[in-house]
Amino acid sequence: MDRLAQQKVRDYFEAVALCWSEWISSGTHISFRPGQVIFYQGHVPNGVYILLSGDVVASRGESGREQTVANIPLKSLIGLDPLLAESEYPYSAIVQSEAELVFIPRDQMLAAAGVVV
Amino acid sequence: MKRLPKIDCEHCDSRKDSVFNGLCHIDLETLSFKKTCNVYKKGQVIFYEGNRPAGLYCVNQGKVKVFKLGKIGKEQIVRLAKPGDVLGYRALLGEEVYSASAEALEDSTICFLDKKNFYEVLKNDENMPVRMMQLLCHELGEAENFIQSLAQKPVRERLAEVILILKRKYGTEAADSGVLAVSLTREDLANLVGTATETVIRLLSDFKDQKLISFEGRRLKIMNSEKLLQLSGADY
Repeated sequence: MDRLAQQKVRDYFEAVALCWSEWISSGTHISFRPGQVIFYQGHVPNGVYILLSGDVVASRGESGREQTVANIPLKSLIGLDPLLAESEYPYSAIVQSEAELVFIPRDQMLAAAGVVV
Repeated sequence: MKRLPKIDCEHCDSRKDSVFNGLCHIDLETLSFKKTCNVYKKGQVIFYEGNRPAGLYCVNQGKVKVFKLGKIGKEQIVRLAKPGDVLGYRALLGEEVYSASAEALEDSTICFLDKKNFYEVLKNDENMPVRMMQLLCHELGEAENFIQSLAQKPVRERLAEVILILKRKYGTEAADSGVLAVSLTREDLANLVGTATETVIRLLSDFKDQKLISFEGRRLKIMNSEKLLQLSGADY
């Protein structure tokens, strides 16, 4: 997907944030415990995550020398950009406190994005 | 924008040993299209015990340990996976949480197929459910053997058995060299046998003194597999 299309999808998904209830109810709910890694930097996304509760940080760098770069905001589509661009996660997502996430598989996400573009 | 090389299921060398062997050309193309592949570095975790599964993992290259954590943080390795093995299918099919965690023992290429698409494959290919059942039955049988050796065999016999199982599962580096193609830490070996690391270290040097095994760097070399087999008390 080219950059313009990605931007379009992103804007659309932001605009319909209220409609996420369907994704949230149809996706797989996964509870992660502190210290667990939701995905690793350098991997390609299997899908998109939505953080419902808890603290998750984005961390990057060589293994053993990772640095926390940001807190991942609640109710955002985590990993949408690399999924659309078919690129790698630029950071790892590490759980700080008990976190509940919804996983939406790549296939379903791309189908939804395809409707927009 | 960097594109990762995608592993094509149809030409996957590991498929001949997997449940996906026997799928038709079209199903395989769909599979290749729907799945994602990642290289897990040594020590990276594929899934965690107690979490809900989102799909199925299939090992393309590498080695993975599947383990449960005890109360005091001691691992018990319940299974080792090799190329062609699927991971996490039991939790997925049983609609349960993972009963164990999976971690890469070396850099491993692992593919992921989400739940919905996995069920599609199960539905579309009439032989797929049977192959899944065969796999389940086989692994249940292995688990039963494991229960028996844990309950009835002394540690020495279990260690001998585990060394032979490692050889059967991962093979040797060169044909007939006897050097195991897998390199486990002493701790992993202990967690597989179900004993303390010190015990494994002591028994390994015992085995070495008896010329049953030797060490090639960090790797184990089997010197006398007949005696090892005898010692393991196995009847195969």
